Amino acid sequence: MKKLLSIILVVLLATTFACGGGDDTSTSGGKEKKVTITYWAQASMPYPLVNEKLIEEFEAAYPNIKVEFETFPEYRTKTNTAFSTNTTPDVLQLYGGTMNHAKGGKVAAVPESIMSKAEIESIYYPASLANRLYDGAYYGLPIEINMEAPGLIVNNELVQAQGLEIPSAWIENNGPATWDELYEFARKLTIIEGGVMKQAGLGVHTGTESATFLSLIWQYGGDYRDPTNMKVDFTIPEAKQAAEFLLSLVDGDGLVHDKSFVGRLDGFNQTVVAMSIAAPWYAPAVEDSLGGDLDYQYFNLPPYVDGSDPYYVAEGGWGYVVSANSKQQESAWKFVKFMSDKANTEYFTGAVGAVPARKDTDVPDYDPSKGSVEKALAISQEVVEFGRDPGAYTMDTSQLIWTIVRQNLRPMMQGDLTVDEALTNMTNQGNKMIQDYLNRE
Amino acid sequence: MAKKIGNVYDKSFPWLIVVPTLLFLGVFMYYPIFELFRQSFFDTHLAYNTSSFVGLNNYKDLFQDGIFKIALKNSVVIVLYIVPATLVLALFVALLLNTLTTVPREIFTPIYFLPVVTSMVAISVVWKWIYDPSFGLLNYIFSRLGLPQMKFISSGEQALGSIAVVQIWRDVGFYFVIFLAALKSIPRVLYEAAEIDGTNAFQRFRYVTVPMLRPTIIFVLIVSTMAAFKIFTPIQVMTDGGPGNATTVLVLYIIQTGIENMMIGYASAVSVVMFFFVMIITAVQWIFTQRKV
Repeated sequence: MKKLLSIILVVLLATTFACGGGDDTSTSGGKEKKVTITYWAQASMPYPLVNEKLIEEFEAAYPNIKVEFETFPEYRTKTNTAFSTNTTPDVLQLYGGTMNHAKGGKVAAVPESIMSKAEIESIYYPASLANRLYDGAYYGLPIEINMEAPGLIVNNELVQAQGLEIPSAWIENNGPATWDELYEFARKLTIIEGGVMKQAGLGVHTGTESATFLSLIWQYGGDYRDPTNMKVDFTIPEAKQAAEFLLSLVDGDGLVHDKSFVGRLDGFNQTVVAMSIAAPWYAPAVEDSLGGDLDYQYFNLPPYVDGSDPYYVAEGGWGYVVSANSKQQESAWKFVKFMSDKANTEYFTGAVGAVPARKDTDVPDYDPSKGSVEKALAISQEVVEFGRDPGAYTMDTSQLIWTIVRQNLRPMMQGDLTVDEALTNMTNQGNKMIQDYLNRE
Repeated sequence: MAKKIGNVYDKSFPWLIVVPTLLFLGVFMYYPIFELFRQSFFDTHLAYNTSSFVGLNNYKDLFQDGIFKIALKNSVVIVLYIVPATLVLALFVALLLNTLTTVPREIFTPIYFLPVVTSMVAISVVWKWIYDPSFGLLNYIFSRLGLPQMKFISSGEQALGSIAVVQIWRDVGFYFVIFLAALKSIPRVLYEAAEIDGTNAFQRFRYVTVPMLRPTIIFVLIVSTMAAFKIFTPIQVMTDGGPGNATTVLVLYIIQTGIENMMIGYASAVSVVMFFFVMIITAVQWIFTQRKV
C-alpha cells in the first residue's frame, strides 16, 4: 500500500514539474498557467502613467500574463549596471542603439514569430532601425525616431517685446524659407548692452549643437561617415566649414548667441533666448517648464546652406528590448508586440511628445497659428525623409555624437581648441572607438 | 566557572567587535578596490558578458587621452583653489568665534554650519542663479558698485574658480567646527605663561596656537585634499564639465566613461590613477607636516 502511494506521489510530482517547465503560458489540464514578467521604464513624468495605462490594457487582453512594472530615476545608470550584472528585467525601455548589447549577448533578437525582418522594415522608418540592426537581425523595436535638431522654437512674447511679429509666411509654410531670413530675424532679437549679451536671438550652443554640426557637414555636401563602414573622418573640408559656421554664430560681430551666454534650452526656459534651434521634444519640455500659457511657435528649420536639403540627425530613440536571459521570452515578446502596435504607439508618443518610429501612425491635428506639442510632432513628420543615420556602424552613435564630437566641439566654440585640433581629435577618438568595438569578441 | 566564562568573553569580545567591521569593510571597500584594480587591466564594457585582459593598454590610452589630461589638470587646480582657502578661512572663523563669549558663539556656530547640512544640489542650483552673467545677483551688485561684469561659470577662465568658491563656502562651515573644538582644548595656562613672557597676540598665535593645533591642521589638510579631489555635485549641477571642458574633473570623467559610455575597464584605469595621485599627495603632505616646529 505504502509502495503504491509512493508511486502515485512520484507520478503526480513528475506531472506537476512537466506542466510547470518550459516557457510561459503553457497549459495544465486546459487551464493556462499565469506568468509574471518584469518591465522597466524611466521615472520622469509622464512615462510611468502612460506605461501603467498600457499595462492595464495588456493585462486585460492577456489575463494569464502579469506585468510587474518598475521605474527608476537614474534610469541609464540603473540599466547599464543591470546589464553588467545580468539583473535586467524581462522587458525594458532602452534609449538609443542596441548593437553593443546585441553583440555582447545581453538582448534578444526579435523572433520571426513576433515580427519578421521584412515586416519590421516595412513598418518602421529606416533611420529608427539602423542602430538596432546587428548581424542581420533587429534587437528590439523602436518607439520613437529621435530627431536632432530639425526645428525652431520661438518665444512670441520676446518677439513682440522687440516690436516685431513672426512673419506670416513662416506660419503658412511651417518655417522660414531660407537661413538668411531666419538669421536676419535672429539678429533683430539679439540684445547686447555694454558688451554683455542680455538676450540671445537664436540659441545655438549647449544642447544638441553636435547634431547641428553633423547636419551642417551633410548640407555642405560632405560626409564624415565612411562608405566601407570602418572609420569616421571629420578632417574633411565640409566639417571645417561647418565648424566655422557655428563659430560665427557664437563669436564675433555677427553672433546671435554669445558663447558664454546661458545654453539654448535653459536660456529659452529662462526666457532670455528668443528663438532656439530645437527638436520636437523641446515643445513638451518647454511647456513643462514654462507652463501651458506660454505664447510660442514651433517651426521646421530651413536648410543652413542654400540649395541643400535640410538634413539632420535621426536615429532610433526610446525602444523596447527583451533581455537575452529572460526566462519568459514568449510572454515578453507578446508584451512588446502589444506595446508597439499602431494604436499604442500613437498613444505613447502622443503622450510623451515623441515622433513615432512607425510610418503608419496618424499625424496629430494641430492649430498652425500657435506652438504646441501636436504641431511639433506633426510638422516634424513632414521632414522625416531628410533624417540621416549618424553612423550606426560605429556601434555607439551616442558615444560618437554626445561624447566624442561634443567634448571637442564645445571647447572649440569656447576658443580653447582650434578648429583643426578639434576636428583631428574627433577623427582620432572616433576611429579608436570603432576599432575597439570591431576588435571586441 | 563564572571567571572562566568571563575570560572567554574578555578574549572573544574584541573579535566580536572587529570581525563584523572587517567583514563590512572587506565586502564594501577592500573587495571593490581590488576589483577596481583588476578591471583596469581588462577591456570590460557593461554591455558585454566577457572581457579580455589588455595589460596596460587602458593606461597607455589614458596618457594619450586629451580629456583625461584636462580632467587631471582641472582636479589639481581645483584642489589648489579649495584646500588652502578652506584651511585659512576655517581657522580664521574658528579664531574669531573663539574670542566670543558662549552666547554669541553658540548663535554664530550654527549659522556658519548651516551650509554643511544643506543639500549640495540645492546649494549648486542657487549659486548657478547667483553666478548668472546676465541676471545673477553678483553681477547686479557689481553693476551697482560700478565694477565690470563677470562671466563666472559661463567663462572657461572663471568657471573652475567660481565652483571652488561654492565648495569653500560650504566646507568652511564644517572645518571651522573642528578647529573650534581644537582651540577649546588648548590649556589656558599656556597663553598665561606666554603673556607673562611678554609675547604679543601674533606671537601667542604663532608659538602657542599653531603648534597646539598642528594635529588638527594636518587632519583638515589631508581630509580636505581628499574631499576636493572627489568634487562632483556642484560641477554636475552648475556646468556639467563645461564651458567646453573647463570644469571636467576626474570624478565627472569617470562617470562619463564608466556609466554613460559603459567602458568600465577604462574608467577603472582613470580611478586607479586618481587613487595613486591622491595617495601620493596625501603621503607628501603627511611627510612635510611631520617635521618638528
